[in-house]
This record gives sequence, C-alpha cells and structure tokens, in this order.
Amino acid sequence: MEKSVPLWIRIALLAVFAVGFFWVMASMGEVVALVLIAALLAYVFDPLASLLEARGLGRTLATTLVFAGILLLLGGVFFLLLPVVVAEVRAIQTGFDIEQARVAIEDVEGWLETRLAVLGVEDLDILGAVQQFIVTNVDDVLSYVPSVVVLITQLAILPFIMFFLLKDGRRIKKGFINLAPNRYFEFTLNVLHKTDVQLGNYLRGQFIASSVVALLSIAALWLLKVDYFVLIGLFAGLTNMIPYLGPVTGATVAALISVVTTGNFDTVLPIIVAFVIIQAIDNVGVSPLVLARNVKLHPLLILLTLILAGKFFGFLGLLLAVPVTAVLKVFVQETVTNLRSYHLA
Amino acid sequence: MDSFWGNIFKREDQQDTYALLKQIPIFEKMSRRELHAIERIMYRREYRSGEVIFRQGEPGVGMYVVQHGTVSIVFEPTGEVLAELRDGDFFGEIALLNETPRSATAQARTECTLWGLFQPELLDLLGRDPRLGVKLLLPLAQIAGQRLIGSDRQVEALRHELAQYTSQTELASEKHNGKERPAVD
Repeated sequence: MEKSVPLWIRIALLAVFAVGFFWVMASMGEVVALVLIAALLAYVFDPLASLLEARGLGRTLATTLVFAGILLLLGGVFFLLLPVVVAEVRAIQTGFDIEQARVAIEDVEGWLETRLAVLGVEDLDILGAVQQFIVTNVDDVLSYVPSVVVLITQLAILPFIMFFLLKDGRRIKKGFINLAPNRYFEFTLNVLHKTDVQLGNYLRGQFIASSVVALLSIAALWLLKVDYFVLIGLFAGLTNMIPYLGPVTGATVAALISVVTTGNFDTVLPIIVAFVIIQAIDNVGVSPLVLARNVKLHPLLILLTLILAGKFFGFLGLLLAVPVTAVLKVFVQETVTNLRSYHLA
Repeated sequence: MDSFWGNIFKREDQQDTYALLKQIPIFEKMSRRELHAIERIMYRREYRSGEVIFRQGEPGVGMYVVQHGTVSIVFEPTGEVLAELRDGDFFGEIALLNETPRSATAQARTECTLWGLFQPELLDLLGRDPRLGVKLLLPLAQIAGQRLIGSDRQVEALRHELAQYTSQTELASEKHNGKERPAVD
C-alpha cells in the first residue's frame, strides 16, 4: 500500500513534518532543552542504576540511590558554589567594571605606540575599537546567560524530569518501539539499539572528560584568583567538546576576563600555562580512557551547530548542541544503513 | 490499522501471558516472578493475515513466540513452506543468540498475536540480572544444540543416501560398460 504513495508526496510530507517539528522545538525551546538535558543526564547515569539492579535492587530503589548520590554530590558542590555563581551571573548581567579595563587597554596602547612609532604609527585607538566591539557583541553574548530566577527554576525542575526518565527510561523506549507499524518494527528496534550502543560510550565519555576539564579549570582559575572562575571553568568544560577550538576559546575567555577585571596582564601567562596543563591531562589521561572514537564530529559541523543552537535555543541550546548533534548523526547513519538492509529504501 | 492501534492500546492479560509463556520449553522452569520479568522485556505484536513478520535476508535481532494464530516459514524465492507454526510454537531463536540474516521469511497465515524477545533486551537483562539471563540462555542453547544434532542427523542421513546412490550409479555404469565390452577369449 505504501508504495502507491508517490515519492515526491512522501518527500513533501517529510519536509512539512521537519519544518513543523523545528518550529515546535524553537517555540518551546526552553522546555524541550530541559527535557533533552534531563534525558542526556539520565542516559549518562543509566549504567549506574543498572549496576545496582544487578546487585539485586529494584529499578525504583536503584534509581533513588543513584539520584540520592548525585544530589548529595551536586548539593555539596552547589551550596559551596551557588553564592559565587549567583554573584557571577548578576555581575555579568550588570556589566563589567569598564574603568579598570580602560586603564589596562590605555597602558597597552601607550606601550605599543612607543614601540611602533618607528613604523609611523601614532594613534592606535585600541580603546575605541574594543568599546565598539563590546557594544556590538556583549548584548548578543549576554542573551545566552539566563537570569538568576530562570536558572534556579530550571535547576529545580531538571532533577524531577531526570528521575522519571532514569526510572522509566526502559519502559518509555519500549513504548516508542511498540508504536512502530509492523513493517518497521524490527527496523526501529535495530536502529535504536545500534544508536544506543554507539552513543552510550561517546556521551558518557564526553560527560566525564568535560566534567574533569571543568573541575580542573575552576580549581586552576580559583588558585590564580581570576574573577568569575566558576562560570569560566564551566564554560571551559563545555567548550572542551569542540575539537581544537574549544580549549583555545576557554583560555581566551579566561585571559580576557582576567585583563578586563584586574586591569593588568599579570595572570595571562599563568592562565595559558594552566589551560595547557589541563589539556595535557585531558588528552593524555582522561579522553583516551573514556572517549569512544567511533563517533566523529567535524569541528566545522560543531561550530555551525553551536551558532544555530545559540540563535534558536539560547544558553541551553549551546549546552545541548554537541551531544544532540552526535545523537542525530549516529541516528541518521544507522537509519540509512538499516533502511538498505531491511529493503526499505 | 487495527494491529497498529492494538499495539498501542494493548490489553495486558497477565494470566494468559503467564500460561502462554509457561508452556514454552525455554520458559517452563521459570517462576512466576521470573516470567513477569521476562514478559516486561518482550514485545506483544499483532499481525493481520498475510502480513510479513520478517523477510529472508533481513538482519535478525530476535525470536517470536506465537500466542495465537498460524505463522508460515517460507523459503524464498521458491516460496516453499518450510514450517507452519501454531499457538505456543516459537521461531527465530538463533537470531537472539547471534545477529544473522533471517534464513527464511515469516508470514502470518491467520490473524496472529506474537511475543517478540530481542537481543538488545536480552543483553540488558544479562547485565542487570545475570542469574535470570543464564536461566533463559541455558535452555535456549540446549534447544539450539538439539536442533543442531537434528540437523547433523539429517546431514548424516543425506550423506548415507548420497553414498548409496553413488555406489548404485557406479554399479549400474560398470554393468553397462561390461555389456558393451567385446568378449575376450
């Protein structure tokens, strides 16, 4: 029966569906992003709950224990860092202390002008250029930082969604597979299973590597007495998912903020050294152990995804861009491969 | 569409499922609690008469148990019906142990209700409840072994038949050559 539907109608229907889906996603951005984050976290912690099940516990009890462990750990870290994070978010939203930055930039300008006088350079006006840059770009950047109330609300809802996804994930997955019509049933089951196998290690590996980099960055920046050390550390952890560009971005942001807030360049070199050491630790000690090499995302693809995700889904979109791209890539790959072996294409 | 909605709004009849699973050799030694755990990882599917369950050559990921109805196992492209399976029978169990292409097509001959058990769920079960996983795998391996022994016997019988046939042909050809050979003094 399905073969009687012309190909162009099927393609048109698919396109309408894709546009509709994207529209719904974009208009419900934050809710969708929260559910996705909860789903990814539940996915990352699923093996832990299964491990407890293997010890004879029921799924609900196993989930509760995993959850209690995470909450205890996060709670501890959170209560230590919450005041700092709230203060940092507020400070970013009210703007930096530009006066110190102005002094620092004028120092650099004077230093450069005396040395470049030989070349006939007289007035560099770096300050003007920087101010222009800040005026045009800071608003865009700030739109990615959620307000404190939104942040706290999201952090409160997230655990609820995550708990139920962790507890009932298996049943939900089974329910989805059961929705498939008979002709596509085994195909759906196989595609989801293959995607699961490939993604499991990748996402868990990314989570561990990013967490290690974030924690090390927070510790290093705290030792170097850089302002906003928690936010920069978290940012460095997140950008670590972007090959090549991520670590450079993390270090650059840290160095820039240090210059802007302190008014001098004293901490720039130590920050760069710290980030190089953290990258060495990650590349030699962490990533090879935890990252599966089968999911490869091109840096350019990641970059474009980040731009689009930031544009349409804001801060949470940035958080989700890399893992969701990985999920989609593996899912599409497996779907195409299996369509052939099931003679569906 | 009936089967589609049937799969969504399925009515679980615990007693029936328990009785059905209990009568299948793989599950016969399991307790009610264990069967309940197995049932939770199985998929209940409904097929209309003539609907294909899986096609020969497609990747196989698991087995099916017939709750009610008749399923034909058809060898393609000849269309030869290899077996007709009824209530309580099961098929595709090798794919549960090893992901291999389906060796024949399975087609619903009447309206059917099947229970599917698939490798991903089996592997998951082995990880979280190894004792139950082994209890499920052992009879499965035994049945696979018995079927292998059966196949060996069939091969042996065919080999014997072939040897007999070859010797008869050789004898006949010798006789034939003997007649044609000119008499020698």
